Amino acid sequence: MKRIVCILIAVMLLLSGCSEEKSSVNFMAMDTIVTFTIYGDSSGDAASAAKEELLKLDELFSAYNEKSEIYALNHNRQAAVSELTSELLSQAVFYSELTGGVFCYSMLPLMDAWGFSSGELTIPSAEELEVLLEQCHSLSISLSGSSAELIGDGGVDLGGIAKGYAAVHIAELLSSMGVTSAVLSLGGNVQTIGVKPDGSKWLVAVLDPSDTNAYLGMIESEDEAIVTSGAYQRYFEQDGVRYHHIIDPETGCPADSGVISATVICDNGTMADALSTSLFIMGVEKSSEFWRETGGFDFILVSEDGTVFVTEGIADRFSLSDPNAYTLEVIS
Amino acid sequence: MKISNKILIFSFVTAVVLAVAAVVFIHSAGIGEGIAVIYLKGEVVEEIDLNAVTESYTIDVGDGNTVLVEPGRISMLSADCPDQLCVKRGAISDSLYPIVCLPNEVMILISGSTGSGQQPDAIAGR
Repeated sequence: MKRIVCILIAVMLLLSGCSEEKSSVNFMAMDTIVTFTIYGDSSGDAASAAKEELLKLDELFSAYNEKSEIYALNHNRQAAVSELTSELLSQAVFYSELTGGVFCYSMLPLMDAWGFSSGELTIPSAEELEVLLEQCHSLSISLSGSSAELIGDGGVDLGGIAKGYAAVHIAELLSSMGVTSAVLSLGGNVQTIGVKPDGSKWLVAVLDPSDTNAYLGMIESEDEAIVTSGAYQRYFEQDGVRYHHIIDPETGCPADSGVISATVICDNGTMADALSTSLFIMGVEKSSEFWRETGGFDFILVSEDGTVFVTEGIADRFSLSDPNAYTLEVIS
Repeated sequence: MKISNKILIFSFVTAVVLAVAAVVFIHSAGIGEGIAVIYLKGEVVEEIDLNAVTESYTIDVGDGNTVLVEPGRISMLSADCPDQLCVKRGAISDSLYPIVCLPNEVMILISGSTGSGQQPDAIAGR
């Protein structure tokens, strides 16, 4: 009799384990839509804490929020900064150096000039661009303890790296709260934590840049960042020409490398964010060279002629949704 | 076997069957599928079951946006934002890609899935 009762109790426990608690929050922060999906007993508390923390980070890092530390730094040229802002600034400097300046943290004057901050497109003249580019290239950041200083002209815009850094920070916060299964999505940035409650890997789709109602393909993912930069995310159209928001620091104009979507997959969300923007600007050839030299990440690049280039590290776990729509080429 | 034991086993078996039935029901009902949620400045202002819509209608969201609700789909009919990206987005009917009006902080998300095939847990690049 006891044995039967034990078996029945075990079955009950197993069944209760099937429907693990899940909490999701949707909100807007960092100029994008944020979705956190968290599994586990305390997922509700964890989701609230994660949302609160991200809103706090947004207030620290936004170049346009008058209360932010970056705003204070841009306007006063010197400011006291928190440990988080200081770390993000030093990461921005690091990726700028790593990419030979392709990742650029000083694009604020150019983003303003094109109207991406105000939402109203203006096409700067060649003379204006020359002056603005000089400003952007002259800027450097000096960090000392809890103080940051801007040297040169222009201002800092961390839009190309802040979401990735924030995702890493939120993932760490959730881990410290005992969360072992979650997926974070900040606009184009996805960060997976652990695996799904049933033990299978997360399935992350990459949007098709030619048709945002479809997927380009799917990646099986565990504990990593997947970040996509696309020309379709923010843009203006004028006289039939599309002006997207990823500005090439060489030309001061929307990047025109032949790449229409760049996805970076790696363990580090900050790296994935900074490099997805960079590879979009570099194009296929330079990105492949950079990948061979630097390593530590994989990429998926979609070129405007309909070819999808994937590095060999991701080729096994990336599948095209419609193999007839694109030609797949593996980079080694 | 004592009668009390039989009652005990019967109770457990009944509980197990009910639990299984509940789990199956929740999965098959697909709770939350096809529900469009409209947010304004981070707050939910409207939840609409698109599958239950039979006639089209519009909703004003905040001061500048008008949303068009149609059977099975939803779109931004007009907005006073300068870039008009939300209006150009057209109608959406699944959870793949939301409608966002960044200047006015309005977003429309469809929860769950109305599509078929393998569904992802997250979407990079949206």
